[in-house]
Amino acid sequence: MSGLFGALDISGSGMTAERLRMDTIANNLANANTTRTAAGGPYRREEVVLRSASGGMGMAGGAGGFSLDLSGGGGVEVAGIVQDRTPFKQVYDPGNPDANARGYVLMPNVNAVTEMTDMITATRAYEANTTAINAVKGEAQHCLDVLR
Amino acid sequence: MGLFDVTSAALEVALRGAEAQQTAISNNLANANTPGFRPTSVSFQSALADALQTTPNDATAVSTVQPTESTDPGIMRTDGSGVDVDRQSVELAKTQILFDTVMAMDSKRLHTLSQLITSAR
Repeated sequence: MSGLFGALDISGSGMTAERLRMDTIANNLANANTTRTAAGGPYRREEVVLRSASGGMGMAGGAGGFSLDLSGGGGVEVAGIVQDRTPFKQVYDPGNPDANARGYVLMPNVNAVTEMTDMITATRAYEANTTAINAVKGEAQHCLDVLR
Repeated sequence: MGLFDVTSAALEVALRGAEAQQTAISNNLANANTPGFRPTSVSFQSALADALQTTPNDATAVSTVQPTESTDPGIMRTDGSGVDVDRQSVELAKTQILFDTVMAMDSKRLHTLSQLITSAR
């Protein structure tokens, strides 16, 4: 959809993406001490990879006989959720059933501080998108006031 | 400009369509946490545009345009639900703007008509 509501769709895709980032961060924090997974071994931190969606929104220009590309972006889309390949933490805990022969347990490569800062950026990015939506809504309302 | 001309018929269809869209979005949002729920969307714009193009002067034909409901493809989450709360909110904002616009046009037209009637007295 282009035209008046194009910006709303773009901001909506941003909100969806940031919500998924938030879900992933929450999952990382929830599994910060998980030593067993279906794939075996401790939990591996996950990260959302975003990419810009190809155009299709915006408008086709061409006023005055020259070609003008006015097509904006098509918002954002999720390219995938990838695993963080950084090494696991080793914690000395001989009493743990998952400890190795030397008494060390492999713990997830989740850093609570990193997750917290990521959570702040995800929240702020979400807020930015809602602000953009409200701005476009206000614009449309002002346009409507001309009609009244 | 007549009382029941093609423009007022088109505005009525648009109002009905916006209302149906609003109902569908409310239903989708209400079922945002229902496992396996597939959201629906309502469209009437293309049918209305077609009717206005094929029968530009037939108010009755234009007024028979009905909004069509379709189920959205794609599953978003592992619980099988396809409801994206953010997208639905955006759709709700769009529908509200559309409804307000059509309503403003309709009341403007009726206001003009009533002024005509008053001045004819």
